[in-house]
Amino acid sequence: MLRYLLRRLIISVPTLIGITLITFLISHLLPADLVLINLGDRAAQNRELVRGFRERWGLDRPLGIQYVVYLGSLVRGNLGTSISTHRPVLTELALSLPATIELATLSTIVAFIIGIGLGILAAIRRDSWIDWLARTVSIVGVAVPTFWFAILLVSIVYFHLGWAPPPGRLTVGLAPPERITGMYLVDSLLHGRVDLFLDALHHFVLPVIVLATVGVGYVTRITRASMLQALQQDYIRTAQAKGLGQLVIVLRHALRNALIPILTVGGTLYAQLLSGTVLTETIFSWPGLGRYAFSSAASLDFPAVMGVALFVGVFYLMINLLVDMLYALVNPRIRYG
Amino acid sequence: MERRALLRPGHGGRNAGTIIGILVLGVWFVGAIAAPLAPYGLDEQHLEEAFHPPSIRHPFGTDDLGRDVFTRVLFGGRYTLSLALTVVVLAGVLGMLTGMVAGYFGGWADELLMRATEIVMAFPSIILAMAIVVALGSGLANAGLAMLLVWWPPYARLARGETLVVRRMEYVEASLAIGQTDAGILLRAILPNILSNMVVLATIDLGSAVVTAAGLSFLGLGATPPTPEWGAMVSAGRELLTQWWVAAFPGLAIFLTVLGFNFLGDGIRDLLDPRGRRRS
Amino acid sequence: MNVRWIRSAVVIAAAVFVATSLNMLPASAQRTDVLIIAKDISDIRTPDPSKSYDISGVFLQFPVYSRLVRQRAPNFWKVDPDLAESWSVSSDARVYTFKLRSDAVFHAGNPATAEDVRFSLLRAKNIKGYGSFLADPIKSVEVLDPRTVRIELNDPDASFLAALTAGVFSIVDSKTVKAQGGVEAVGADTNDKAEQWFNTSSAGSGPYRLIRYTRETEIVLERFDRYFGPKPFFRQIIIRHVKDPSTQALMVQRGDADLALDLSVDQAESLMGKPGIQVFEDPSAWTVYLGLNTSLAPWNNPKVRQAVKYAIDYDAIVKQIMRGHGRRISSIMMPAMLGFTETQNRALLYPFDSTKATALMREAGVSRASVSLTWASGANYGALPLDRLAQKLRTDLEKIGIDLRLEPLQQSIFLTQYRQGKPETAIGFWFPDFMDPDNWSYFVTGFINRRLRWESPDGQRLVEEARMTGNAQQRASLYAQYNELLAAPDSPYVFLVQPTNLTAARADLANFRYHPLFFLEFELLRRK
Repeated sequence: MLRYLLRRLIISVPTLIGITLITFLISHLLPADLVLINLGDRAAQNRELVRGFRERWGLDRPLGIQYVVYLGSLVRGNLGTSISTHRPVLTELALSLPATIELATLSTIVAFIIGIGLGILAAIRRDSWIDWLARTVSIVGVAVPTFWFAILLVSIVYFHLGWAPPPGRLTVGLAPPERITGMYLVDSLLHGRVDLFLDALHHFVLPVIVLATVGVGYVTRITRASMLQALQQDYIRTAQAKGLGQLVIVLRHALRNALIPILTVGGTLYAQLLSGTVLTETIFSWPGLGRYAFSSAASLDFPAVMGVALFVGVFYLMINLLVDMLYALVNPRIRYG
Repeated sequence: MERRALLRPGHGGRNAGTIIGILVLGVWFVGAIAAPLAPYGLDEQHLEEAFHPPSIRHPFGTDDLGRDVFTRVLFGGRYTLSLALTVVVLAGVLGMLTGMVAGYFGGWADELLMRATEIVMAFPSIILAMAIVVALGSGLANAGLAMLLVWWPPYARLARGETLVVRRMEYVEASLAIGQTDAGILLRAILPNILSNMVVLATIDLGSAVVTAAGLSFLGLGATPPTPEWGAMVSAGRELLTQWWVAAFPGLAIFLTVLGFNFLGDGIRDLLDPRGRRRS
Repeated sequence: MNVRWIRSAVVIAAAVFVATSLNMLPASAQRTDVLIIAKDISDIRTPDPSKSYDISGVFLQFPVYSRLVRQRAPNFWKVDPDLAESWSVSSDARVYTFKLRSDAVFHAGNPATAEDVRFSLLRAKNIKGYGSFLADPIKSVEVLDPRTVRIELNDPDASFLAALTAGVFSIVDSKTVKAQGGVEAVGADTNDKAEQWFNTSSAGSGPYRLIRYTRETEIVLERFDRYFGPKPFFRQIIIRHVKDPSTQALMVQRGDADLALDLSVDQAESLMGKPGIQVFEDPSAWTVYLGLNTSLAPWNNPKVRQAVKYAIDYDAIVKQIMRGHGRRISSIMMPAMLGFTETQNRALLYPFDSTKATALMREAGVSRASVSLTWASGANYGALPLDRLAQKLRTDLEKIGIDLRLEPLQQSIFLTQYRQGKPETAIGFWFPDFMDPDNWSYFVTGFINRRLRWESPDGQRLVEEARMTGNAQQRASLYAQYNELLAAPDSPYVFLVQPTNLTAARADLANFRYHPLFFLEFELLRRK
């Protein structure tokens, strides 16, 4: 197991280097004038300002050297400084990452609970109304265009019904909990601020509904299919013959075996949500990774863009690894050596 | 057949789903083809009639430039559907070929492919899409290119896995023994065996391609005016508080199309994938 | 079994949802002296006033910092005292001397002195930030006594007094900023370490001080009780980042925000006449034109350029595209400003005359032409949606045989390409740095006109002379000639519109004053 883990970590290094190289090339070879975009039209007329800018961001050096310099500081844990805000990229990421992690995690959990529940029920009560519901959910959920759905929810649930707060992470003017993790739900509880916790939770309702709807579709579909398959296996019949209770059969045996495809789908889903969902974040004024990626790319803030790409890459690899580890946990027959 | 049976799950329900899917998609395809027959042009502006609510003359109302939304939604099918189809077919073929080659030859080719798919899948696609649009300009073709670049890895992985399985089968070994060329084996022995799974994946994938294409246009990274792409139409209408119809109908069009593809995808899976059929 | 499990999960989820719903009271109920503004503030790069040059940055700077002089609505061309109570300008417009008021105090309690002015102006110049080019004319700043400061310029510049109202010339508390690592001497661009400190604090002498700034989230300002001007009504001002203008409109309608500032014409239209809402309409500083690249066919033919000026249905653009929230302009300047009277604006307008346009095209010998039109995709100039404008221009020019191929570009690429003079046709705009006609002179100096491959030595002479002239009347007549020149039939500019600025507010808000450049006067706003 340890050797396997080590091997996985080692082969992820070239992947990450590949990601930085691609991002670097993309952001430096674009036909947009970095100086102009960042200094503005009128400042870019001033030769001295332009020279200072190029020097400061190392743009006067050959491309290859710039990349090596970047990798060099990366190894030392330095992601560089954002061109727009002059703050370390790491600091900036530390502001936007927690918002996304919180949203992605909550949405995935909700999607898992509803999706697995619905999938199991559909499989054991096949052809019942609940099966029908599950299959409708699995097809409709996946079909909803998130941006459209999000706008619809804001205008109906927030505006017309007033059941949800306006977009944002907290009620206007409310000071966020003092920063520990940057995740409002966690920090508010750590500080014992139940009022803040509830307020933050309330602001999660709409974006989580949007993101979880898609997730529920995928999870329900895969759960139902793999449960049906598992329930037809011989050992389930044996278990039934032995007179084990249905609950035990479903949970201990069938679900356990169906869990691997569910985990795969769930892992992919989670990784996708963690890379930031720019559409949902835009509509809900959520200052997350997706917005950060989008606005940094729009202003050609390349140190920021590289930082985002790197983090998303790390997330993706980590979650894949985690899912593979969980496989072994769920099914002892899978061993990594 | 009883009417209720049509809506019931199980085999009848599954077929009903397929039929619904085909019907919905059929309507869009016919609509897209027949769109020029609509009473208005796709960019026919009547400024004095801007923002008219749905009526008999304009069943979906008119937009900010007084254009008929119904006509534009019909035309929109052409862009959205053809973009989704093109991306999925190209990505499918590209992914399948690379996956087959990697799975068949193994070794460093295989390792290279797996790393490449991993990099693409771990890369934040929004940055890639931005970069392509920034470099090449907005437009449906460039949005398609951005999608294509991130769309192929699942096909490559599936094709690779299937090829690994098929390769060990006896008749492939036999073909090798009688001196068939690698290309011949790939095309005659392996391709037919993995094709059905690729088709199943592609059909299910069409729905998400439609949503992604529309999402890119929504962000301003896809279709350019006056192209009536559905996502771009939702985007243009989202700012309107009281003229809900401008965004609602194209949004509904996206939703129904994806729904149709999903139903159809399930149906085709039953038809082509024997394992899938056993499963349910 | 798990039916029950799921059921209880659903019940718990529903309970949490309901509980949190009840927790939400309508915020408007308990916030008499708190003002909530919904605005897109994502363009703010830094709250450091000497470095910032973003349009929304003004929202941070103007209530927090004072400058030597200020301009206020509605007579926003007049330069009024701010920190300086009086001033004198040498007859060659090269030396400016200011006498400071004695009662101004910074947020940290230090009195505002001539040394603070020297420090702030030089820091703005030497820190080489985005707005530092505005400080380029400064040669030296001298403290004559604690309340008198003299600024000497490299060259005569009659526009400099107005330039001093710009955000980059905000006066900061030199003691506080120095203590945070601030540097004003040459080399400040590398030695100054104070920028990050401005993210959490402010060193101004304005009516509000900064309590909290979170990027793309919120700015919280609190009343500064020792402000030298009238005591502001609102104890707290919260500027909430809301990206979507339509969401901003929804928030004002529900009372979750008092002001929505980024409305486009469509949202403003739907809010007008709604109970509890008032919509303010003020002139904006955006002026929009169509630029024709004169090095390319068909725009290299002056007759075609003239034809285009007659071929556009301007009134339909104002009435339908902008839904009446704007007006036609005949030059780049804002009508009614120094050097561009309302009368001149009206006199120079081109009528929409398709017969004449067609005749001109015949004269030019061009029956069909195809040319591309680029603009910043999805952008709004003020309340004007560009995508919509572009589609309208296309239909208008089609009628005289010119096929405009619509090629919108991402904002960053559009700026780059336009600067490089690549677009064949472009929708351009002007938005000033400060309110003096000199800032509108770039359409002949080479800055804008070279992008369209057009030169006007006469125009250049006019604006140079106007900059050096202290006499206002003389300047006015020079700029009037400049406008005439820009509006000539063969010029590469087709001037279109000046959009208005639309703001939605709760009905109980009073004393709303809008400045096209510096936006709101927070200290005047109050509830009825």
